[in-house]
Amino acid sequence: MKRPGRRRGTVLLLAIFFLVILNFLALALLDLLPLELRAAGRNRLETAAFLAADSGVLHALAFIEDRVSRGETPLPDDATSYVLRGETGDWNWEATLTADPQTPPRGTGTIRVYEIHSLASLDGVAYRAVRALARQETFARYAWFEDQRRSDLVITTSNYHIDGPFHSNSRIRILVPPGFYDQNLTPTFESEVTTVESHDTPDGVAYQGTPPYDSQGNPLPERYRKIFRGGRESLRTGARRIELPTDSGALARAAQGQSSVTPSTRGVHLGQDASSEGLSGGLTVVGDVDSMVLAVEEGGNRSVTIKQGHSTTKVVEVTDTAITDPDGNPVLRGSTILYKPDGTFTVHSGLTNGLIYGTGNIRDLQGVNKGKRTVAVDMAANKEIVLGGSLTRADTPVGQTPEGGRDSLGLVAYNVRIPTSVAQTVNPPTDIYAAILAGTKGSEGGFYVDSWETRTPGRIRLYGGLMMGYKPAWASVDSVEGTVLNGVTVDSTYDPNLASSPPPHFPTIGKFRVLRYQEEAPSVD
Amino acid sequence: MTPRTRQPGLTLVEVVISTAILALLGMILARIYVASQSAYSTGTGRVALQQRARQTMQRLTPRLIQAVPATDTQDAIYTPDDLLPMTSKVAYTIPAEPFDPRSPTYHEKWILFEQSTGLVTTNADTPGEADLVLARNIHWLGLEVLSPNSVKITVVVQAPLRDVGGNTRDQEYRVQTTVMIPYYATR
Repeated sequence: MKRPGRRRGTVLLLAIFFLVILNFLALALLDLLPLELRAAGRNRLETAAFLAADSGVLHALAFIEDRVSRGETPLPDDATSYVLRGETGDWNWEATLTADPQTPPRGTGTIRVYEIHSLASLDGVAYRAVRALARQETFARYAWFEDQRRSDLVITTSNYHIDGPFHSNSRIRILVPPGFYDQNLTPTFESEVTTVESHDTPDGVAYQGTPPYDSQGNPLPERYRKIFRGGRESLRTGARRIELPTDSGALARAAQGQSSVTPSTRGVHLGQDASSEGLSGGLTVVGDVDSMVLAVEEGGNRSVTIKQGHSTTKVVEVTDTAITDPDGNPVLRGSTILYKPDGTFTVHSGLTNGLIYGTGNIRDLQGVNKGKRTVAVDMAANKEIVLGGSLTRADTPVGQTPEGGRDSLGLVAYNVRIPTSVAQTVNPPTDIYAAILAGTKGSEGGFYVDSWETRTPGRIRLYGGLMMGYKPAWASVDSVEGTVLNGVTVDSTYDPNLASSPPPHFPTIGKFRVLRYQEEAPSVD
Repeated sequence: MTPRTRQPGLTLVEVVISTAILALLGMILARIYVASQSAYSTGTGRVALQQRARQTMQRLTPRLIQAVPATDTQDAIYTPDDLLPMTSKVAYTIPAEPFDPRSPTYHEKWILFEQSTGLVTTNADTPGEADLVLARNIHWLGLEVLSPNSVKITVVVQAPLRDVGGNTRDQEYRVQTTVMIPYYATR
């Protein structure tokens, strides 16, 4: 007898066959899903890796800024390299800070530069790396800086125009002439205003005249914008104190270069290589200087002529065009000639680092600057620089704002003085293109105008910044009208190139600025 | 009691019906197969489209995050003045080589999209060298500077893909992101 229902097996086979086919189709469709998921997942991973690497850079920056603000070296034991490690969620980052060749202890530069290499990894696998370059900020980033202001001085809204960052370690008082808010003047402060201390007023500033707030102390935005371009928000009191240097020892060392012996005999000395006749530093001038003239020679080479009593020394740097020396021998570009007071000369390979350091006073400084240069004197010994006339730049027509940082000049002294022979008239004014730092921490050093109470009104047109230990009076002003009665007013035009490309070895502040930032393929080294 | 007879053969009706059912099933299966085939190819096409949009984004982002302003009074990233219709362009500055950190100079870079060609191009890092093509076949690239520290990027790509109904028409994929310029986080 045959078993019934034999055909049912066929049905089962058929059903399995169809099921398998359907399964294949479904699987094929499902195949697409992980592709999308994987792409999205990778995206997320990459973003997280980048953020982790970036937090390593931020941490490294905060680390060195914090140390410098506490008066320590950026890296512990002033090492050339230092590694920081941290976590961000599941991610680990490792940030390596490395000093650049000019940064101590590798070099004698006063402006420190560190490379930050930050690597992000997850479970031991490196995913992303970021490389950044950070350079220490200098005082040249300010349009105006004052450490202290003792007397009841005012910044009047009609005579001052500060178009860059302003900082005071003290507090400020602003004179507002009658009807000021009804006029359409350029705001006195174009950029950020930070003060460490404050007056007991609604916004920390003492106003002589009508304040920019109402009787309840509520800010009146219209009025604020007449004084501060950015309105109330651009004024901040209680800012972190920024200390001026106490001496210029770092500049003296940078001028000396690798020379093993500190110059001590009166006269001009070139910072030389330890081994050869090549240059490695700047100029060191021992003793008081009666006059120092910066100039551009024929062919575009830069020079400085220094008079000390009956001795005249001239240093020509062959920056642009090859010349011949007094003996008729060619002097190639990239060399420096030192013409000595006794009529002899020496030729050195290399150019100076742009630093002219004086151990004494410079009683008359003027001329045209070419190339980046800093003229400094011994601040700890209260030495001063007296401006003997205009100080202009080879790359900028007089009266115009510089477009680059090629010929920027820095002056560093305990006092910078304007004698009665300079800035005698309002028109034409005396033009000064420089970042001027005058004064040391907590001292009376500053930017002084001689006989301001008695001299007729004069004007300095400053293209750069003015950083002062002490802000003395420069002019007497009618406290109601705001007009100048006697003395010198300073019209300053901020040069932002001085912040990004500061004069060589200009004194630094605790902040660092990132100059370069790039993501790169991770390389574990 | 019905006498037990030999099992009879299938009737003609049975054969016809079962063949019809089988044919129907086969047809349905074939339809499903074709539909899933096209869904698969549409799907892979879509994934490729998304990939293209994401890749474009990934080529732009690392370039833009390098932006560092030349001076404090300038922005790291900005919309240039010479913008033409049906194009989008963003300009930014990066350190120029050779780079001296104590006396840095900066080089202006731009990223340009032209809808007429569908090309995304940028100028070389070294002045004088030929422009580079970053992406091709892009339907639209939006480059919108939202603030000095952020730029919104929108990438739109299109491709002819078959839809469920089996008709081929242009399908679009769009990705959008806002790139923050890391320089500003360090200020």
